[in-house]
Amino acid sequence: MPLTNTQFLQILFTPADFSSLNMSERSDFIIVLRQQKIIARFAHSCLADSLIETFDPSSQRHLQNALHVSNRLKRQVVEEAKGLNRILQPASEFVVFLKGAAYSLSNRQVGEGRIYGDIDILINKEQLDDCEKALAVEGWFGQEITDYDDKYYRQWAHEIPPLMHLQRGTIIDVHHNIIPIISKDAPTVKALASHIVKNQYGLQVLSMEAQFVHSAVHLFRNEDYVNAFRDIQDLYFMLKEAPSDFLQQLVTVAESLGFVYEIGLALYFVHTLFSQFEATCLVDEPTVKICLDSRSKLRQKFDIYIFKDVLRPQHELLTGSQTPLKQFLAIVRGHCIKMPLHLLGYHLLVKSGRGIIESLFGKHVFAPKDEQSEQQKY
Amino acid sequence: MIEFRLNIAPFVFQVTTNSQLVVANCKKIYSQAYTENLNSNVFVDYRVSLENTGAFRRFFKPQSRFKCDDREPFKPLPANHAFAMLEWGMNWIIASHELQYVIVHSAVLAKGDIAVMFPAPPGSGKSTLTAHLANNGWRLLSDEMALILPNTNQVIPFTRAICLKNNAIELAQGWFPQASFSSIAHATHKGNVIHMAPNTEATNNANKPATLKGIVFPKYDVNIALDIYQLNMTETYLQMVHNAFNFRQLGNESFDTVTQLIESCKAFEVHYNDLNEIDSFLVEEIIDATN
Repeated sequence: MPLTNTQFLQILFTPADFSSLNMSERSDFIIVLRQQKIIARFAHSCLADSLIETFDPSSQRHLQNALHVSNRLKRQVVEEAKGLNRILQPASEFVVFLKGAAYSLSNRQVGEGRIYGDIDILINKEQLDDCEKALAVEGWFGQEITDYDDKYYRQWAHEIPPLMHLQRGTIIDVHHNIIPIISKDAPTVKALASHIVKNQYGLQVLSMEAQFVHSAVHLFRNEDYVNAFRDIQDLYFMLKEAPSDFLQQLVTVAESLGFVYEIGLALYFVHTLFSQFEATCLVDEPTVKICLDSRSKLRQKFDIYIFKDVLRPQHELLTGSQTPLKQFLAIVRGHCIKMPLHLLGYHLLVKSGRGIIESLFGKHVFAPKDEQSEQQKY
Repeated sequence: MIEFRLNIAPFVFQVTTNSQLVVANCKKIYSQAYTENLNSNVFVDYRVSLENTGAFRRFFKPQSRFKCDDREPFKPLPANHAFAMLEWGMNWIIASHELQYVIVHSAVLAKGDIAVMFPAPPGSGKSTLTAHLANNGWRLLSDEMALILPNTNQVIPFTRAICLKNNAIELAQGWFPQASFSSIAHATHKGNVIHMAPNTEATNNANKPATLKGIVFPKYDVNIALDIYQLNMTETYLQMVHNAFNFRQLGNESFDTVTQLIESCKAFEVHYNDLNEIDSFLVEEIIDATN
């Protein structure tokens, strides 16, 4: 029997039930975990009761592989972060580690088994040039991208194109804001800087409340929902481990940055997806309502209609998970929020022009000729 | 779309494809391991798809794309490279996901349960040597990757097709008329490529590990019948690390494994053009010497 979306969630929360699945269901479950980038997270949740050893050899192997990757990533990111801090500290007033890297650098559950491809850093926008120079001296360079994409990053976005380390291949995303500056809702540098704290390694991260706000903003102002389930899980773990006065502080921080509605959505969906698996309710419902009411009822209805499915794990092996229309609406919504309408029109024209050509002639007609492909090695 | 499984121990792949070329070649190359029966209670390790792209591309230089877990490691290739791309894709999957083995880019062949590995970069004649030995009294464990259990000399078979290139294609077809060959993929990044099925000796023993006793770095040289250089541990170590796919990812475990391998194996670099000479040398220096 194919797994249902609900069954999948149930096993995530009670990993001991994994053993009740037959072999092909186990295999489906693990393939979905891997595609959703949460396999190491599941493996970590099995560690507490030494469950992995009780599973069949194939499942064990895949979960051990995942643990290997996430443990190594964690060790690696600590070293990279220290190095980046050393390089950037003289160049920027602050060097703040964001998202995945910040979670790994904490000792919280949200960082356990969290997998990500690049390290996100926030620096002071006025010192961006100095930062790029300092990084280049130490071997961090941008990769080949199209002129249009470069312009997109530089003029409108909140980050510069990704930089890769020449020897180690590690990739960093250097941000100067948390949302695209072109969207007009971007908080001021001053407002952001007031939420910076130091963690146990002496490295700068955002306060727990500001991390939650950033994570929510990232999820609900995005146009890419491939990793949406992992991202809503991040918010769940942060909330679950938070101290009792967290919600109150959270609202204050969200107000100061101007993202009250986004945390409203975050709290609403953490509650609808995950409270059923918890002994106590994760949120305080009146607070959620107040936050959501910062936007019109129509907007709320629309967003809830889309996200109640888009945030669930999406995979063809899970029945009841494929929602192409809502996926599409989420992408359109994301673009509309990100850019003013006239720019969006232009951006979509360029991208869809390419999209049409790609659909006719194949996905890679625009890839630079010298682009390194994995092919050479195999 | 056709869906089938390849039971290539120690892994199970499930392939979805609309390429008849892929289906026909898989049936031919992996005969026993190929099945379209998907209902059994089997653990599938990896689901992959090979899709010939649609729309106008069908008529204009048709292409094929390889995907695993929504990831696409390679750029699309001409549709008639699809089977070769599946072979490379399976290599990529194992090399980039499996961390329970130290994986070395190497052929592995055995006599009895004594194995010799042949790590080598492309162009060294490794696959031609492999094809020759595999059909002359040696058992093929793998043409592309040695799966070594960490901290042991145990190597696990991963009995896949042997990938032959350019001039070797005609040679092999002449030498082994009884063997099954895939169709030729013309003008790939490795030149013309053909895959040769592992023989029954290899597939019947696909679950039987062997013990590594020799590490041989082959280098085909048209002017030299057989030159043998004994390697010291430092040289062997460096070459092994260079050829180990997951060396960095595994960290200490792979370091310890490689170290103990080079301490317990004989290591040679061999320049050759005479396949029978190299065969006798291996038997004498490694197989007989350890028995």
